[in-house]
Amino acid sequence: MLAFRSEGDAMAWAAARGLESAVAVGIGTLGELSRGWYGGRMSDDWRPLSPAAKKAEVRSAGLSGEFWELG
Amino acid sequence: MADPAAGGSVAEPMTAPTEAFAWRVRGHLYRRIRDTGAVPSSAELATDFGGADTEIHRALRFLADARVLALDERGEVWMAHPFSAVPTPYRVKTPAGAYWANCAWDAIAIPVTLDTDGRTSSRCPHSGAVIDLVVTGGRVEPGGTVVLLPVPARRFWDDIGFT
Repeated sequence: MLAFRSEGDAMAWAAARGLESAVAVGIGTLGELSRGWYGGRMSDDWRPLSPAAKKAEVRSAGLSGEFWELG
Repeated sequence: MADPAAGGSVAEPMTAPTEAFAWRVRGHLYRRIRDTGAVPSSAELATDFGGADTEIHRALRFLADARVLALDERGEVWMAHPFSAVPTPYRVKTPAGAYWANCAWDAIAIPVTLDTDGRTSSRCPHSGAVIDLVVTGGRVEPGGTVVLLPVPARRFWDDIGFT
């Protein structure tokens, strides 16, 4: 996962490489999602989020659609 | 990629005491990374736990199966999300130390994980422009920056190195 200056740059780069399923996500949105997925990881009590908890974090960050379906 | 253990755990069954040991190893591993900026080898972890080499490898395998870590072909820790054992384009500097992130998303996630501020400088792969990402109080700037996620979330772990 690479950082790009803009969505246009990211999608042009992806198209040139045939990454048809790729999406560009704003850095602020990923920061928000990171808080749910990474927060508390330094604690001994940390355990991986359940699939349901991950889905809730995705929705909370404002992300949706087939790309974000977790299987 | 970012931990994003997209699916559920696929860990093999372990006895309760052994599983408890694996989680202790995980906590210790993350503290060592935080304190030293480097991902320890399995031998270093074994020393820290009194020479329990076989048990360390078993614990690391359990954590990898649980998609908490990614191991390299030697069974050494490669990724302890969001930290990378090897240099990448994303070097994150924080008041706690400097760390390698696995990817751009993990570069944001390292300050979040450490509950601190941080910054990383990289180049846009398309334009070549320098991108200075700054995390302050959980807020990430510059706002126009995006991260390209190459495959859907459910496929993040199909090829974690590519992701």
